[in-house]
Amino acid sequence: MLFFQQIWQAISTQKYILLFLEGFKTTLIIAVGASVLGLVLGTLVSVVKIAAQRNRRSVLLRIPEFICNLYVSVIRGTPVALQLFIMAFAILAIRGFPLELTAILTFGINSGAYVAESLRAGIQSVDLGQTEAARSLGLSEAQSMFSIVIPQAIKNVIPAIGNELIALLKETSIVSMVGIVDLTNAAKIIGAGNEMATYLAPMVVAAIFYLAVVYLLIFAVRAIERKMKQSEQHIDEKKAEKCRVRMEKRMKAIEANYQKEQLRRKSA
Amino acid sequence: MNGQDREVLLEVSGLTKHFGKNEVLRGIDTTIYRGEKIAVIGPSGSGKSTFLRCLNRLEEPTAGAVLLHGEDIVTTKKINECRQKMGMVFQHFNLFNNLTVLENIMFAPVKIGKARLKKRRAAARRLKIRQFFGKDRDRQIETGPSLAQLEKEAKDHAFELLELIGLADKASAYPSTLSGGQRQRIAIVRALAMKPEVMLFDEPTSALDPEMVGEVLELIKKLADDGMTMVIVTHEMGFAREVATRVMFMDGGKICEEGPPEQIFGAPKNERLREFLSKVL
Repeated sequence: MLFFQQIWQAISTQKYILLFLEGFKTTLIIAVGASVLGLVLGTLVSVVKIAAQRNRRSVLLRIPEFICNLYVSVIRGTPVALQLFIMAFAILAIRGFPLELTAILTFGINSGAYVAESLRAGIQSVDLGQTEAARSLGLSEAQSMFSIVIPQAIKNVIPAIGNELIALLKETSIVSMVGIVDLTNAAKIIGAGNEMATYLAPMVVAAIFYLAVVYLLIFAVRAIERKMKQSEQHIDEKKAEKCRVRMEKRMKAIEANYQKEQLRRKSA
Repeated sequence: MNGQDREVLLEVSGLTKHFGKNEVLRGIDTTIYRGEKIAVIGPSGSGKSTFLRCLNRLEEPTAGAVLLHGEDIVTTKKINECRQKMGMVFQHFNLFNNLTVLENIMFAPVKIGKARLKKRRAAARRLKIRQFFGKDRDRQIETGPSLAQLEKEAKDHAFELLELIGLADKASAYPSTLSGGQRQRIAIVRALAMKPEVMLFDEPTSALDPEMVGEVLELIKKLADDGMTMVIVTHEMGFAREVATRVMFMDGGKICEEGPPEQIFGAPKNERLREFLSKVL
């Protein structure tokens, strides 16, 4: 009974709940910032790697490929806590530099390596024939990559990227080691306070916060996955109809644009 | 049928391709004239597909030259421009899975047209700056079609092509919902959308159910009758005999015998060709 009372105390006491929310906000900021940075970095690295792999002859791509390989292996080969320490206490140990930004950079760079690997696998899972068809029509490497291959690859990697984002969210709890008050650290601070005198209750509250976000992410990933699958295999009438309407709209827009331009030409 | 008065489209000389130590093509020399329909036959592993794929550099040749209007495709920097003049149809269709049928057909003309438009605009901007400083006063850059025009033309052309194959009602469908024959016919018109000068067919009917082979061959025949230059790698001997103006028999990475279909199928000289024909006919 005491346990539940303590949980109630943790969430009903104003200064505690405010501390929790403050920590939660920090956690979210770091996680969102890092995942955006990670996705951008990961896309870049994977594209460079694939491009280098497909153009073995090109010497120009060797150097960026080497850098990308080094980046991925170093980041994946060292613990993230160590990376955080190096960033916070050595590289970015600048007076006045916000620690949260350090954390975002560290986790972004870290998750970029993992995202790069899953994206690379996703790009490679797209049939080479798709690229060949695009190239045979006279499209450039970049055009076929960004308009044909990557949209299809994204569909394949959504589950893996979802997992990575979930892992990233939880990994951010490490930032308490450099003194940032995130959700985990907030729980620790509350637990260490004189009034509470227990770690269990605040930790459980923090766990519920994490769980809620993770569940939300899982549902979102599932919904996106389902939607993407349907968009290309609409066997049922409703989807086909929707697609037909979309195409008709597009055609009408093309017509309208053309008419508008004709009018403009005439008046000019 | 002497070659002198006909326009040379593709000139292949000494085309060689190695995959590691495996020599797939050992020096191919041939000239393809405008309007010719060439059927490439031969046992599997003889290098037919590799030959075709070397023609538009989907496979990098190890040595040799492929001249398209005098421009060497093997070494050119403008490979994309060259490929726009050569349509290619694959065994496994390779329609873009993430686009609808209409988008599949419109994709390349619009994308490439847009890129050209961008280039032209950039050139016009540069010219304006030069003219501001009093240079190139009399020069002008033609504006070309605008984006709206481009899209409209691509759309109209796409529908024309779809009417041609009788699939206009499938414009908004995704490739995964179509049959093999339909997909291959769409793949053919997708290549036609770029208005190519030569079409390369890489075993266009090999991955199809027998009942769908007919509709695809019929379309290819229609193109041939319209005067399209084409190179077809095929196992359909009857079709090769009917449509081709020249048949190439390849074995061991070389052209062993070539000539009009009557000669190849009627009076083969090469020992390997006779053996091959006795197996497939």
